[in-house]
Amino acid sequence: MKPAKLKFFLLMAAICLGLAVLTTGCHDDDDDYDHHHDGGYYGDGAGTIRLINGSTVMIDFFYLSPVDSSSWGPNLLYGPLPSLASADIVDISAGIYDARAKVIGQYSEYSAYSYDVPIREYRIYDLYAYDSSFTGSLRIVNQSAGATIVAVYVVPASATSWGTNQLSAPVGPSAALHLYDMADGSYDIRIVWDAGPDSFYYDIPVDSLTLTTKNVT
Amino acid sequence: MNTGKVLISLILLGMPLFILSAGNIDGADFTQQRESAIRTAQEPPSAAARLQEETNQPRLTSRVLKSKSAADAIEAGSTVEKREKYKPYIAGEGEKKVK
Repeated sequence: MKPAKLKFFLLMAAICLGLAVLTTGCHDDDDDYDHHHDGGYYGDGAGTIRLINGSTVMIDFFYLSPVDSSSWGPNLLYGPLPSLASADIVDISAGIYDARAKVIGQYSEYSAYSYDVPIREYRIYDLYAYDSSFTGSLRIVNQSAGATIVAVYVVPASATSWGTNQLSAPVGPSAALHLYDMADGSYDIRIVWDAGPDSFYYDIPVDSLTLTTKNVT
Repeated sequence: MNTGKVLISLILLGMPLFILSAGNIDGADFTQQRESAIRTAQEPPSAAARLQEETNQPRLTSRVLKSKSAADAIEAGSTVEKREKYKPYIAGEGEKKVK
């Protein structure tokens, strides 16, 4: 090879190498995105959440709120979302959000949550709701002859203390306290009466989409 | 005679235990009412099975990690049933629990 051709070849090789390095060094905005959470592209410039109802019940409400917001804001569903259906919530500004789906059931209301949901422009975030996604409820019925419940403590069975009083007003005979929005699991209950010793109930199950009723005396 | 003395001693020793454990400890007598399934005819049953199997997708959970206000809160109920939102347990809060 002649020196002039060799020089030209080396120059071209250097240019190609430089271009290759530059291309590799460029940050692809999509590279750091968790594709596992990515439902695909969407063409309107804002982000989208696709709520997929994999549960056996109808989802009545869906809320989306920026992570630093103190309220859930308005319902974003046009109507109840049937089982096995999906709904797209479109035109969401890019950011990090908290999500809540809510079911109004025959016996109680139940919610399902997801926190720190990343919404990106032109992207669809698939969010699944199953039966096990939802909270459960607990109904405590005062079945005593004439005593009034003045305080109720309900904590996870694994808790080491009794937490805060769940009651805002006394519960008289035959009346009930209905607690909702409880994560599924086993709970311990302590009932404080206006007279007499406290009552204790251990390992009471609270299941998703279920109202557990416990009579206390 | 000795057996009688032993029995009386056991009863006397056991009494303080009954006195200390003031309160009623009940068994697991409770009832549960599960929300009935409301299915639609939009998709065949096989679709339901497929959705249930895809548990590695981003999903909602029953864990309540934040307290945010909601305009549609229904903390009301009737005079016989007071409906309230559960106040999540904060580790270590309240009186110590002794089972």
